[in-house]
Amino acid sequence: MRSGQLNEAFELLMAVYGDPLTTFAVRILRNSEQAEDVRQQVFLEAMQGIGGFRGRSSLWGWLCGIAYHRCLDLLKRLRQTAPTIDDLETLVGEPDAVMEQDRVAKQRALDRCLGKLAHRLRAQLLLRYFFGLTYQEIGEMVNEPHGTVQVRISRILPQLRRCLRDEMKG
Amino acid sequence: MNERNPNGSMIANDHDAERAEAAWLLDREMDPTALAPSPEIAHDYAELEDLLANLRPLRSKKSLQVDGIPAAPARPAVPYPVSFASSRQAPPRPWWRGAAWKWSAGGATLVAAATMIMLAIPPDIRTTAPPTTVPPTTAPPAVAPPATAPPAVAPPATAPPEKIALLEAIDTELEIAKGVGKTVRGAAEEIAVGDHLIVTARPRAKGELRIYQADGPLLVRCPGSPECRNLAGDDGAQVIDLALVEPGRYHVILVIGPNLDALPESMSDYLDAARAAGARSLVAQPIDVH
Repeated sequence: MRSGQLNEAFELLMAVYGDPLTTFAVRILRNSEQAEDVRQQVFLEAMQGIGGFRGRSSLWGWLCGIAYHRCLDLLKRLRQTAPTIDDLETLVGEPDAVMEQDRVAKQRALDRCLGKLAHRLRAQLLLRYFFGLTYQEIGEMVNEPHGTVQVRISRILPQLRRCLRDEMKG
Repeated sequence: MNERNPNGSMIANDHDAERAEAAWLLDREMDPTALAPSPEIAHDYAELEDLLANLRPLRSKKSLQVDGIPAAPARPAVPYPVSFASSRQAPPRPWWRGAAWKWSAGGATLVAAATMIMLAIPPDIRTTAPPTTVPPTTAPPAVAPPATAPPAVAPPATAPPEKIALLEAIDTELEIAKGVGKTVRGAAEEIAVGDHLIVTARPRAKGELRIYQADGPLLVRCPGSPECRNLAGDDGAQVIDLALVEPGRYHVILVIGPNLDALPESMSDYLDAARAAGARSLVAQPIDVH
């Protein structure tokens, strides 16, 4: 395959999946520049490593796995603690004009609640609900039985629900 | 964090309630019709999962230029959904994974990209993919794509069907198989648009077979739909051969009982009505089509 065609293929993948990968990374890293760096790293690594892609997971799952590990690697390297939740308000976009005020408030509240979760837990929750991966895929990615991941996430969701409710009341 | 809620406080009643909710969430993975502790809780989770699936993107982003990879074009504006998924439905897909987006803006390009990338992988690697028989999947949630999505043409299956699941009971047998079509898939075990879903039911009493998509529309009913036929030489066996033209989650249900006439269309109402009519329901694990 010509390198031009591969470039074109990655250009298309970046167009569709670039923003979701950055949105995920900024929720984990709480830093827009680092999130952008992770996005670039994901596609660069994918392009360099495509020959080793065995097709045991979906292409999308593979990209998500790279993003997950690069985010956690970066956090480990920087020994960074999550910044205050207010920082996230400056990072994420303005609400869409068609969005309801109530929904905007809930999205902000959810971001504050997500900010209170441990990095790894937050990342796994978003792998499931934002990236839409299966527990099987997440389990393989984090090297844990998928049932363990499933139980962990099912326990954190009720806490997240209460946090959201309390944030909306407060 | 695991021991306390995100607000840092937890009282005994909340703890019990959270355990009950967690148990329901686990049950729901196996059975999408599992009843929530209350309608309010079901609504809250539908809303929470929808919010999680549609996180706000970054305010602004730099133009990306990775060495050797051209910068990505800006994506078209896609409005956020404002409606919430049904509480019984698996969590919704974010807009960028939704069928409408894929079909209207990126579907063809994504397929092209995946094809080109798969072509870049040496054939000997591609053919060492995982075994063909797959367990029933508990894969991620999907929302039925809007009716405006253009129909895809599913080519006929070209290989022998691969068995996905077999449910056996005293009075019936339900077999689900994948008719492998010519399609692009991330992994060999994936069921993808272009494949066929072949469901064979052998009820030893009066039975009705149905396939739903994402807890939404009834796709096929057997007897009654054109995709349904009786299996020659196998008395009482019914077969549905459904060409998969849209990604999403599919549900296969076999109901056995004497009073199966005029049962409602929607999946949850159907199951409730069948139960009320004294019929027995076999619900296969959801099948995710990529």
